[in-house]
Amino acid sequence: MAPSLRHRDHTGVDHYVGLPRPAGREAAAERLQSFGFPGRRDEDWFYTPTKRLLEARFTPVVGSPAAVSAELRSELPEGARAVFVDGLFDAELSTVVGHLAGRLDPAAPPAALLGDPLGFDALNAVLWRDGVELTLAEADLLHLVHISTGTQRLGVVRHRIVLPEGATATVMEHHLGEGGASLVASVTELDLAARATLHHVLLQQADAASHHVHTVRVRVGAGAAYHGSSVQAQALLARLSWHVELAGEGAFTRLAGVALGVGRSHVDHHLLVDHAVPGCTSRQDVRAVLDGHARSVFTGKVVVREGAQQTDSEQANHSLLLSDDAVANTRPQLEIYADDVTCAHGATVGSIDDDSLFYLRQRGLSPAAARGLLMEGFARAVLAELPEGPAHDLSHALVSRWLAAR
Amino acid sequence: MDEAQKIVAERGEYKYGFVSDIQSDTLPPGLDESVVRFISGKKNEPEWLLQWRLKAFAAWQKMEEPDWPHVDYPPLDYQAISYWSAPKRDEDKPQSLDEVDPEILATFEKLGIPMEERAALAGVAVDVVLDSVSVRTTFKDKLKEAGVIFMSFGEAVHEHPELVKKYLGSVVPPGDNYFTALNSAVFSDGSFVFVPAGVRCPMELSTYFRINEANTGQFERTLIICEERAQVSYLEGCTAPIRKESQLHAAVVELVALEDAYIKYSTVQNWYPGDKDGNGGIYNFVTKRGKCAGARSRISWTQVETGSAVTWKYPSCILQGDDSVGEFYSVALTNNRQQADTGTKMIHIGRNTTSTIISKGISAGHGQQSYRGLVQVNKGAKGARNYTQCDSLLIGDQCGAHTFPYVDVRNGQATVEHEASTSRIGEDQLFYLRQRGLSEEDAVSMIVNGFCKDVFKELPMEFAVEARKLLEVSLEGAVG
Amino acid sequence: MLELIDLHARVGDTPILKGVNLTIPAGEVHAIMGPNASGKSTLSKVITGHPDYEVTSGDIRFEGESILELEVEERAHRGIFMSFQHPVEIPGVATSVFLKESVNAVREANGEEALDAAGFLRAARKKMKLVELDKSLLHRSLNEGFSGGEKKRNEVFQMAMLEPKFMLLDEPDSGLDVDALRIVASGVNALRRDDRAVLVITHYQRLLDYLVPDKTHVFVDGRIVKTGDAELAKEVEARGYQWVRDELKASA
Repeated sequence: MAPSLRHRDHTGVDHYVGLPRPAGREAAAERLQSFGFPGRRDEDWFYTPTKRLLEARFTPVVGSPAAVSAELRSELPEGARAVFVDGLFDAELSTVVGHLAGRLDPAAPPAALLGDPLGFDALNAVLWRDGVELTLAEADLLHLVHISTGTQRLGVVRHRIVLPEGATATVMEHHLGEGGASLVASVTELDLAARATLHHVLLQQADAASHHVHTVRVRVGAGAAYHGSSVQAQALLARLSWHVELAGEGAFTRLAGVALGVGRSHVDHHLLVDHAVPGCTSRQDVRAVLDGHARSVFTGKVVVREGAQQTDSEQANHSLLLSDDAVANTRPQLEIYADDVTCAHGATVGSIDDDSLFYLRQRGLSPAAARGLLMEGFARAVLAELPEGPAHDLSHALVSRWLAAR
Repeated sequence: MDEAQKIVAERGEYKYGFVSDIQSDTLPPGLDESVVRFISGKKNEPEWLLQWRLKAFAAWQKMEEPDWPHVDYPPLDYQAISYWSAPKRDEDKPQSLDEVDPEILATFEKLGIPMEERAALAGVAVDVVLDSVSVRTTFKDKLKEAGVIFMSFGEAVHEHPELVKKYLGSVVPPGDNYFTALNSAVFSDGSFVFVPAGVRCPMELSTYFRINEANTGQFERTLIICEERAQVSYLEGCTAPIRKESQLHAAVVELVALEDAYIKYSTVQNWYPGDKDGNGGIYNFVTKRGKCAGARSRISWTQVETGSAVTWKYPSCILQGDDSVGEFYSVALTNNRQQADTGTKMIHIGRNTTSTIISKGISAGHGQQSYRGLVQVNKGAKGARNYTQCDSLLIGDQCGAHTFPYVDVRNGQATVEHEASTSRIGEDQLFYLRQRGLSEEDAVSMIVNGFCKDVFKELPMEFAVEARKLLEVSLEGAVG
Repeated sequence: MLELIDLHARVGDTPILKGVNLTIPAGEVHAIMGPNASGKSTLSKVITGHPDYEVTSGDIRFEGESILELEVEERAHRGIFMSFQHPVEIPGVATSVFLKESVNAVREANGEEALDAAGFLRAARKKMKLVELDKSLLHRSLNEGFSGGEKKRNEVFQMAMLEPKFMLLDEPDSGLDVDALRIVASGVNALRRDDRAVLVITHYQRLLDYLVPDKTHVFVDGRIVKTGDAELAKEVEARGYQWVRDELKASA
């Protein structure tokens, strides 16, 4: 489905289409050339301006991965990890063995889930060189680490992960960085067969001048469950397009996100949950804590297709504004074509609740301590359902660190 | 088809469908600058107003029809519509009801408004717009006593030009959107209300519309002004006859409330929605906006909408004055093949402003309904508070209900809360009520009334009764 | 221990307290009863230093010193504790996390050593028994999903952990059934000491059967209009506040 051209922006297209690319990417390049990037009036990018990002024209690293500082290396998670530096697999920093060592073949055709990519997804389709292609086994815990080494670098990476019937696994994506402005355009596709369960955690704590455009596409089979969590902290721009298709009866998904913003950071959560068949359940809970001139954009779309009866969907978006210059935009959207459904959404934007503050102060906490406790509680409420272990610990640590550093 | 759907199966014959056989003075279809001049000339308008229209027309010619609403309709041919139609005997407007064209009076009879009796008993002044011309109001004298000015827009241009000039376009500038530009160029008539400082209008003001001639665009322009501490409650209720070709209605309503003023604007809209297959029916594209200009002013929009084939309408409030209040209460019904993309915009500008939005959408048959709302809290709007609740009720599984709210908060001292829910009339609910002795129709009514309770209680009394009945008639045959 | 001296206070432009005089010595329990909108809730907010309320004249003295200039948490550090009529729910903050921070904030302000996790848990388990609170509540978010009775008992539990000198109970009985009432009362009674004082603000007399006051004050229109002993509470309950008003008028 081609978008109306008047909402597109062709800034930078020639530059990106002109970069050297792997063989077999002509069709994708043509799409990028024709349809360019989302522009100011594109409904899906309504509050997230792309002009300056497109004008900056980033360039990829070719050949072997760039060096990574000792400091960043010390932050690498323990356990099975595949590390990509500016989009290139770094064998030295990675520790994957056996069935977790699978890699995507750059010559292979794009995977089925994404369909006809547009904009930054098209950019990814043209330029990606590396990523994992895996079928996970029972109780796997895999870390996918993406490091951006900074100045003006473009990092493009793509992953495809499949969970077979009944399997349970955890995948953690870490986005780290240093060295200033960069652009990361990543695509992760997750395919859950019947009754599989996947915990997927996305932690972003990249350089404060970096730009991240992440696309996550998930298909959830009958009786399967996809638990997605995301913590976005630090990057100048973080856009997460998180689309889940509930494709089999009894499928479940919960999307939980925390956006932590300071300075001029801009976090955009674009969620879409598609209830394509009956009997599925979805939950969305995305929150933002914003200080300085930070901005949080939330678009949460729930589509209930005709015939998708017995749908149970809830959606919540809450933003806490700590300064007068912080901005929150929220657009919870429901598109409902069936009638035997329970769909609810709630959104609030506000500052720290006075009554709660007074209660904690009456118990002896200083205003700063009280505020800290409330903010931490606010952010953590979303992450409450993470399984024990690194997923829980690392996520909570990131939130605590951010709050302490504010 | 389940039980619930069966009750919606056969829609009652459109009760108000008939045509008034009044001779009209009608322009051939088409729209260009000469048509604008013709309209202005027919109404003997002063030069400044003609220029205002021409400017709007020039702007319209450069604009494009919006394409984003979640509605689907065959493209309109603006050149195939006639922009002027008036009942023949209108050179001197009738001074009293006795002078009114008997055909027109008969029309009122058919509409179920026995003018003399009902108007007298309820104390309601009626300003009837019949195909672009206004019939003098009945209770003008009583209002005059109170100092309230309530007359047709056309009359106001002549009798109170300074007021019209001051406020016209101050809330909805012509260039605001495609339909306001069109309206500003070719508007025929409408209502003008001015309530001076400190006056509470002693009765509810109301207007009934009818679109008569085929392919006559209806371009009403209404302007209501309440000075400091003034109050008025204005009712707008519409009916229209069945027509083969769709008819366009693109009205503009501007409300201005100064310090401590209160304007309550209520609408019951029941225009021809098209037949079961979606043919004919009115296209209702309206821009309604109120400006709470003064501190502590308040504007409430209350509406019950069951008609029109396609509706595009967002009554809005600009909360400029400190401590001002904007409210929106709405029940919208889409049945058969109706489509509606409606909602509201609340723009918080002053300090400590409050807005409340309660929107109830009922979708049945193959109806498609979208709520599109914007709550915008500007940087300087400290202490702004908003509460929004939009609920959808789905009857049958062929219809759609969608919500697209936009919340834009730009300062840290605002509190915005938004809730939405979706529900349906279930087999089990119907069975339960019927087991307690209610007929299916009554059961549906009860559930729907419960659903709409929060909105109905905001309607002026007589409207509330009419609204409930309207909903019942509109849902006849909706379930099953 | 606590003295209110000709206290006048307002919220926004509206005066609510219109000259309150009250002295509560250590070791005593005082009760305040009054009709709705008499200002009794405001009284507790003013004593604890709620920022929305402004003292326009008069004084509040705690242990001989004026506390008007002290912030909310500073008054808490001095030993003033209020049991809220509507305890606030704070999702995402576990009760234990919050309470440990609170206990240690008060301890540190008073030059005492902070409790470590183990010490805190030990103390907590002991005190929870006092109000028959299940220890699983410690790990749940503060007051979230707690029943009315659990919330009130949680308030008393916190009181037991913080060991305040002055306990201000703002309508601790609202929304409670008889059993919960008795547990709350016995919890408070267990905390009574010669060097502590209690002020109970209540609407109904029932609670005072279990928490017997040394003095009862009737609060009408922003002021204390009548003072008596425990019997006064019963009389007011039997005859109503109108009786008090009539009496006042008669003697005026």
